[in-house]
Amino acid sequence: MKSKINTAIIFIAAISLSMGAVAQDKIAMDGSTTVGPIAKAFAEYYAEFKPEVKIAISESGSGNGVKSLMNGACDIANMSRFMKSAEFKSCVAKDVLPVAHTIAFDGLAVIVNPENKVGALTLKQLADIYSGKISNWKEVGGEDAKIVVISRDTNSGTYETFNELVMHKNPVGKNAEYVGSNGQARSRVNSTKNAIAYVGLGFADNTVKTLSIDGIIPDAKSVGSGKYPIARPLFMFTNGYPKMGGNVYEFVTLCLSKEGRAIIKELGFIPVCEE
Amino acid sequence: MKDSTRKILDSAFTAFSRVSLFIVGTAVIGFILPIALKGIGAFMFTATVEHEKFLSENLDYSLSKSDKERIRKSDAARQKLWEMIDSYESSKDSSQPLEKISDLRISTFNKAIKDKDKLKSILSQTPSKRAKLIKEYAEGAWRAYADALDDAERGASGFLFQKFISEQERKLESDAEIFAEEICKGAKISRMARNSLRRNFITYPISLLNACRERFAEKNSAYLSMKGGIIELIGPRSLKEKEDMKLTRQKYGQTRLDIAQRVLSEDIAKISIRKISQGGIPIMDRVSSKEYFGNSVPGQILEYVEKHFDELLQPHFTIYPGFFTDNPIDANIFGGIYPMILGTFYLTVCAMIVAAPLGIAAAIYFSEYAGNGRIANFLRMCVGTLAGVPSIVFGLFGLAFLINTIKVSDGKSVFAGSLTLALLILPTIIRTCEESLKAVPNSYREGALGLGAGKWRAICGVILPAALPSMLTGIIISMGRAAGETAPIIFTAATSAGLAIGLSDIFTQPTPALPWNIYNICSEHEMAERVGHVQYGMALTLICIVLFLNLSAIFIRAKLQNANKNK
Amino acid sequence: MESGKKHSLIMGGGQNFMREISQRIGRGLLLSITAIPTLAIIFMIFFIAKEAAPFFGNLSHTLEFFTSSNWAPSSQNSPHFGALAIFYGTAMVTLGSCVIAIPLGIFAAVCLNEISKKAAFFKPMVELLAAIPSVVYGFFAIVIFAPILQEEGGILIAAAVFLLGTTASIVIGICAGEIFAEKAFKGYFAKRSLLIKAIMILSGIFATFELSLSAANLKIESGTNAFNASVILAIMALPTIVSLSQDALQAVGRDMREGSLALGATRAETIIKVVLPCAKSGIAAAIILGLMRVIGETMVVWMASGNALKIPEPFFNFFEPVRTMTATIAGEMGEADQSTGSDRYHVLFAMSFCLLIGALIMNAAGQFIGGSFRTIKK
Repeated sequence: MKSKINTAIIFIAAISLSMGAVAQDKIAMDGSTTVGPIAKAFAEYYAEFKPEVKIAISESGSGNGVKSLMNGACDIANMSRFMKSAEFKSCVAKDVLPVAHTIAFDGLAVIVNPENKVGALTLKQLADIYSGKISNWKEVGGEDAKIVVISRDTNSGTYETFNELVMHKNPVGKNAEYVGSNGQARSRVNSTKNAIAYVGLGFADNTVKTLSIDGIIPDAKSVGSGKYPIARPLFMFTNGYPKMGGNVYEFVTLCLSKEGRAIIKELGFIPVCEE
Repeated sequence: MKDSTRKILDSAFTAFSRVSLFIVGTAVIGFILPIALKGIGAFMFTATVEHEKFLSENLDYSLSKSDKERIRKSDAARQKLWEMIDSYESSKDSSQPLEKISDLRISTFNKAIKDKDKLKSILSQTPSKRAKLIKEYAEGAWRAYADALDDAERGASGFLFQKFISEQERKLESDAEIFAEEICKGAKISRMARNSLRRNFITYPISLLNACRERFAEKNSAYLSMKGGIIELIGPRSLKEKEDMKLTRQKYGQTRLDIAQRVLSEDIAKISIRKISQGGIPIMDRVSSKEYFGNSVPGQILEYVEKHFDELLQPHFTIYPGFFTDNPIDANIFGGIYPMILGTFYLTVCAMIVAAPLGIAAAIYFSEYAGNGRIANFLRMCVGTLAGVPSIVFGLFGLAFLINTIKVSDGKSVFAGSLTLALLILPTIIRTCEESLKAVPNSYREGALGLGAGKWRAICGVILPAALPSMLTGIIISMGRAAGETAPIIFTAATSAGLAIGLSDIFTQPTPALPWNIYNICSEHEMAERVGHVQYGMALTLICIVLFLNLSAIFIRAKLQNANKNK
Repeated sequence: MESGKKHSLIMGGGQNFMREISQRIGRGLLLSITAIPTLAIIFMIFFIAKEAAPFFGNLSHTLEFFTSSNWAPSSQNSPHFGALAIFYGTAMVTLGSCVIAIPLGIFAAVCLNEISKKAAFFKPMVELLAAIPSVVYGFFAIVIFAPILQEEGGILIAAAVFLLGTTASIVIGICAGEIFAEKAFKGYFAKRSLLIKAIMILSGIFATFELSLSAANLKIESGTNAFNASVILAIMALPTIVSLSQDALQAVGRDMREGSLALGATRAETIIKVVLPCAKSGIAAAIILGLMRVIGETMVVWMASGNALKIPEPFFNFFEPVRTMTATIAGEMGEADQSTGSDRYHVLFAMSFCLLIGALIMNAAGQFIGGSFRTIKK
């Protein structure tokens, strides 16, 4: 009879589960790993005064964010690049009208191991390193060692920004090693003496050395003023403009509030507006 | 071949196989031991005083008497440190020129106010022209100010100068506002023109100040870099500074001794400075603080921190069981891993609830009804094939079919993930259940049928109970597999951040889950180096869950077998 | 059973009829449940083939897919779909793990079944290895193993080469020396075989020593590479290979062994010449199933292989990063814009299709070989 009792328990459990499923306030987000830290920090901040709103964040790349938004699987798509025209068109075809909310600015910091002698590169040199034309550090004033080129995965918004602003849409050379995220890129550079990589500014910490590009060191000022050549805005896309006063509205406008700006600054990004 | 050679070869062969087995056996230990040792460090570790502060302020833990004592002691040590920092930051090494600059600023404005009429006439020009004219005028007006600034910069070396520049910048802005008010008072001048005056009149001095700051950045960046490291180590100074910080990671110093030591060696003993390279390009560089500061005041601050490291942080051994029951705070840098454990639990149990009845039913069909016919063999082959499908393909299938096509939920959800996992473990369950059913002696079936029981009754009443122990073992072991699978839940159920979800949310909500978050936190976390202990803790927890399931399977089998014997 | 008390054992015709109906319904229900895996398989193949079809429909793309290693599916100007490097990476990692896992696995199975008396201790260890989730293996690979490889890789490999080479040269030296002495020099040297053996062993050890010296100087640029992935995957495949091979060895009858031993063969000779040939189909199935785990594994290769899009130079260099099919799918599928049906989306499905077909073929082979082995067992 045990099996019958078991079945009964399972049934009761299943029924009680389905009964419990009621609609709730929720915000689902998907997209870029670069925007991820901001989204996570916002979510935690938001949860403090609206704990009843469930926020789920996935970080599966900018393009995936578009897809989720298109399928209605998420309310906010975090993107580290703007939508492509093809993506835009297919969204509109599905009756999804993407609206961009710029939440912060970000520079792409080019990082090397702290032991590396090289401190500055020009944009041209950087492009040559990534296309494979320059393969030894001594060609750019460093030691005689092979450059370990580390790129972000081709699916990331970070890659696409880099590809556009540095490589002018030419493909990254074959010798590059691809990593899935900013954090991974940084830890590879931290553990590999001759490596070079590019990460979001918020990820360039003391474990690596940031290079100056074309004579400009990326920081809040040079990126915010547009002097630093490899900079980009970060977006949150919603389907149509969110209902004023709604949860999503509050979330995407959080970056304009004093608290939101403070969070963005503390994470190492640059807020879109100052007081 | 000689006998002796054959013997040597024989023992060589034996030795080879023994070594192989040994390697295979110890691979387990080689895997688990480092993870276990470091994983234990996630909840048993040498904490600093910041750990208790964090717990008492964020998670309502109460402070014990010894905790309070430690906080008091560390505060005393910190007091001294802050005093040193204060005295450095307010030291006046070039006070005379600085005051002169302030005076010049005020006098420049005053002089310009006297030129009211000229300015007014400028303001009546067209917008582009007037901007140009204001700028030209300003450049002449600020000449003296610029010279004084140059002088001051030559003599300045301290932190104060940098502060002074920022202050000047602020004051320029506010003065300019009053100045514009003053000029336009009583005259009919548009708001646009007034703004133009306000902005363009101070463009020149502000650019001077900026250039000055840029040149001064090296000295300053060195000190600020070290100070930043110290704040990272022991937390912000005052309650107010703490409240100004929005991220929890900025509100507290380091809670663990191992990370605190790393901060000391990486962020305090070494600093990032901005400097001008030989080619005249500003670059970042990493240098040793000791060499850079030498015996100056920052050098003394560094020495104090290094010497009084223990007093500042009060390291002590602690056990933090909350690692398993607390929510993560600030992207897992603080707090525990409760939502991930819960998510894994939901996924596994739901997958089991779906897969076990189906698996048992299929196994009953295979062993009791199907025989060895063509259809049965084809179905069997399909079960075997399903077992061989790469797990990533299951993930794709779950995404494309369950979520996008039949829409079991409008996005990732625990339910969709569990269904995918259920499909993944179904073949294993079918196989083990079929084997256990086949292991039931035929005499049981014959006995039941002989007593006149129908086939169905024979199965439910006799065969299933007899096979239950080993079936249960198989099911629990496949639960272990479901708990550890990552690829299928990437697209169907897992999120990288989120709080624990309630039982009622499993049909609509995705959840964080251990396997995915292990990947996520060790590769996508913005402070991956800072959360090493959480990575190991999660990996250890997952291993423990899986091992616990495996062991309990073995235990249940033993127990039920005993019970059956006693019947 | 208590339910027996409620109903009498003898039933009327009506009840019989009802029972017949319910039996049939029950049976139908069971059959339909049993068909779920079949449906799932068919659906998977259908779905993936459907999405892969547009790609394979374009002949030039298909050709490029299999022959070029220029992979840039997301490029807007000139997309390229050469997946050769990815296929090669998969093959390389698979081969590497085979080289490690197969001998180790078979020897371990032999020891477990024929030699060791501590099987009760080691068998659960092997099962434990199977229970560890793949993401933990990946975690180990990237957090623990990769830094070790990068820092002390050369020395580590030198030590392994030296140990393996020395033992191998001793065994080969003894064997070959013996045969050499017997066959080539019938007279004088036959009695001095020890000398020949010593020379062979010493020269073998010397060669190994030289080899390991050069290995010690090896500088591994990146700890996440084909070697790392191979080692970890080998360890993942081991439990499958060991336990299935052991089953196969167990199935070999006692009489075979006893007969061989009675004829004066040593244990090693019995195992190599009698037991292993008897169990070969079972062992082959074990290897295939182990291989499948390697090919289908996602997390480990994603984390440990380095994901570089090129064929290593030279092509056998295991210390360079490679990229595999599963890692490509996992890494890029999230991204490919699904609803627009871009080329990139379809090429990933084409890759999944290749993977699935490969897995199905291997599975069928494994089942076929294993099936014939099972009938022998009976």
